[in-house]
Amino acid sequence: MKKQILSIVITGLLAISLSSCYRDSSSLGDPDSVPTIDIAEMPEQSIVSYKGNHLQITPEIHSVYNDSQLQYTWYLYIDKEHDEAGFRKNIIGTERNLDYEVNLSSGLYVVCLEVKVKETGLAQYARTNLSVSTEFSDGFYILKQTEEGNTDIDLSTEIGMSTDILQKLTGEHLQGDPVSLAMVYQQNYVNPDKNEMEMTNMLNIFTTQEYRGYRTEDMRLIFDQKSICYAGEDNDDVYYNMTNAYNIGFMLSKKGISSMAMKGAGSLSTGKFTLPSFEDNITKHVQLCSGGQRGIAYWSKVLHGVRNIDMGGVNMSDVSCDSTGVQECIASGVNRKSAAVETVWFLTEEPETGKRFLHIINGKLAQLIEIRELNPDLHISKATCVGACGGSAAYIYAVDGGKLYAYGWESDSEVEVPLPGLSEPVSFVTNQWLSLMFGDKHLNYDNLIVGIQNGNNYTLYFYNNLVGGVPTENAYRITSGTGKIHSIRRCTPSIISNLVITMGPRSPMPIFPTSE
Amino acid sequence: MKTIKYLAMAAIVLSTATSCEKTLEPYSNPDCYLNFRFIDSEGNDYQNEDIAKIPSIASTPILYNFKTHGNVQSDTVWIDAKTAGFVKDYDRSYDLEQIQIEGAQNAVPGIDYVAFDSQEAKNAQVVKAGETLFKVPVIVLRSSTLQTKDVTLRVRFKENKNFKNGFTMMQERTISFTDRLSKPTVWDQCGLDDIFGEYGDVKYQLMIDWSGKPWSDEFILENYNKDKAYLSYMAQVFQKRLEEENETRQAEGLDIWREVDGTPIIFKPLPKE
Repeated sequence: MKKQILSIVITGLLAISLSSCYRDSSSLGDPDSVPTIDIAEMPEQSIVSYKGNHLQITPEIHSVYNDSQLQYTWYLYIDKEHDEAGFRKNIIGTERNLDYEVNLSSGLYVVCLEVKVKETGLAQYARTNLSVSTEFSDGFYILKQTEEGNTDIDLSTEIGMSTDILQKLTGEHLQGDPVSLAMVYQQNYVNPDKNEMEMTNMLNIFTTQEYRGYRTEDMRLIFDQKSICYAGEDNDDVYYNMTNAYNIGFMLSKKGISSMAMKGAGSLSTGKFTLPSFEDNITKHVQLCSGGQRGIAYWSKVLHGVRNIDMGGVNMSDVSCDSTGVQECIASGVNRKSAAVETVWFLTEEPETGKRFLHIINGKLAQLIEIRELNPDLHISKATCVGACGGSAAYIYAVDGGKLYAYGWESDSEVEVPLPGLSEPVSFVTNQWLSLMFGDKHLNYDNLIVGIQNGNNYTLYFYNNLVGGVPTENAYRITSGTGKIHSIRRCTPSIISNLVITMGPRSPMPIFPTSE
Repeated sequence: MKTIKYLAMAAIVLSTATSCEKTLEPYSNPDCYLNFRFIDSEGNDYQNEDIAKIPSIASTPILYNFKTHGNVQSDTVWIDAKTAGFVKDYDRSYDLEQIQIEGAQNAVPGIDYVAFDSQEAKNAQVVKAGETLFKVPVIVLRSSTLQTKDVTLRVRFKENKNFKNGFTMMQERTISFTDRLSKPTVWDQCGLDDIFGEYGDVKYQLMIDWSGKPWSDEFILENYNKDKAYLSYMAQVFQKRLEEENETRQAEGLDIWREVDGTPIIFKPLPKE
């Protein structure tokens, strides 16, 4: 019996010697007294980079711990889906309050605060978005004719105007009369800093004598009329306009139309164009049809009408034709009443008679609806400046006699557009917008911009909050400069991937304007 | 007695829950080895066992065509290789030998290629100090034989004082070279009929002559993968040159450019049916 008890005890001791237990005496062991760290929501931030600007955040933190017990770490990262190294790779601050000089490429970042108890490792996090733009990456570029008859650009931003940018960059204005301004998002190119193929937002400037492509991040010259084409120094073409849509970029030149695949980050190219694959006599007037899903519609001087090139850049077809063979295109635009109804239009004029015609095209199908001879009494028939209304109403804006009118092609009638806070005669109009369904939707805007020209000086009025194409409030921005206004393009720091462009057909508005 | 047994069993069982450490001996094999490298499309090395499973990885020859390299009379084919064993801080020479292939037009040393035991070849057959990855140079010669035949050269590492043979499947590489025009193996793979039109030997020679580019497999692949639009541009250039030359030829009473079978040459893809 004793031996049995002894055996059992020894076996039991051996068994329990393999196990152990501890009493949880830590401060976290008591579920009724877990100390918390509360960080109040931090407001979203935006800042201009490379200007000595500091991101300063004073977080509101409530905790049972005092400062000496806590460790603060501020992290910065681009959307974590793209940052394989994890969000802790980039530390931008280690104090409670953040003071960080921002020298970042434009884009949307996430700022993350980690508050950690030094003793226990208990941590709490708070995040907020940081929208970064550079001096040149966010604003309205104004293409203008200088007093000498050459071309330059001004830039209107939230913080003011930068004038004669090309002269300041290169020492002189761009030679030739201004022709067009094309803002191409995610244009392919070889980054000269890294010698790698990349995408960037590029401002393409076209004059009667020159072409330049500038990276809007820092206004570095990337392309000119020699380097944009594989022909290089042998290239004697003259360029008029560029646009990209639905995986392909189109370049319009004197000799015709070239195309190039722009499929996004997964399939980059050098950004160079071939020789024109469609020979034609081209102007700058081009519009996307259904966000590029139906290719482009452009004015052909050979046809004296509108032609369509499909989204693959392979097939060309005639859409409309001026039977008299004398019409010249003076303006074009696109409007989308809804995701399902898109109208592309080309305004033409007979030089000798002054008659004007409107080629009205179903943008969703790239098919002609009507070639309408406009009543000569209409203001649009006499307008000195015409601009498309992108989506807030089915209108074409027309400046006549210093006043602004809106022509509705559906009713073939016009209304005068009141301009709150503006009594001077106007001479220029454009509607600039960005309408993204995905991605940087917070950058969407819709502005009616009206200009006054006094000799060699201009003043621009920027209106938002459009209702039925009509501004409802005074201009939110008034800016002035020298030169004669030609056209305006907004640049935003948005990364509009090709996916977004391809989804453009389903957007209630076209993503952005391409031509006047 | 039983108690003692139980205790002993418990002790044995408990002892299995313990472990001990043994000090590892550092690598000390003084022998160094050589292996050819076989690299996949993503830049990763095939291992010996991969090649054992798929022998074609090793048997697929490296192709070289003098016709796509201008007027050179000799050229170097570089073959990736690597060492195994200690890295040395001094240069080490290695030796190569030719393996004859039954039924093939085997290359003749001194005529079709620079012999491996020649001083010129020996000077290049060196693994530099500190190197593990290196390239084996094989100097091919533009002999008259190549104008009518494809010549094959199977190269194998030969043991010497510095190196022994490594893995069995990684000791040999085969080079097949010629001086005759032949359709690039990647032409169809890259869909070049859709850019340049249907392949033809005369068209291909014109492409090489008019551009000064080799239009070899390597050249085509590099541009196809990195800058496909350049190929489309070159098709435009060739077509323009073709039209100009045809006009000149006709003015001189000559026929336009045609393939051997009489098909007119055109640098545009055939329309799809």
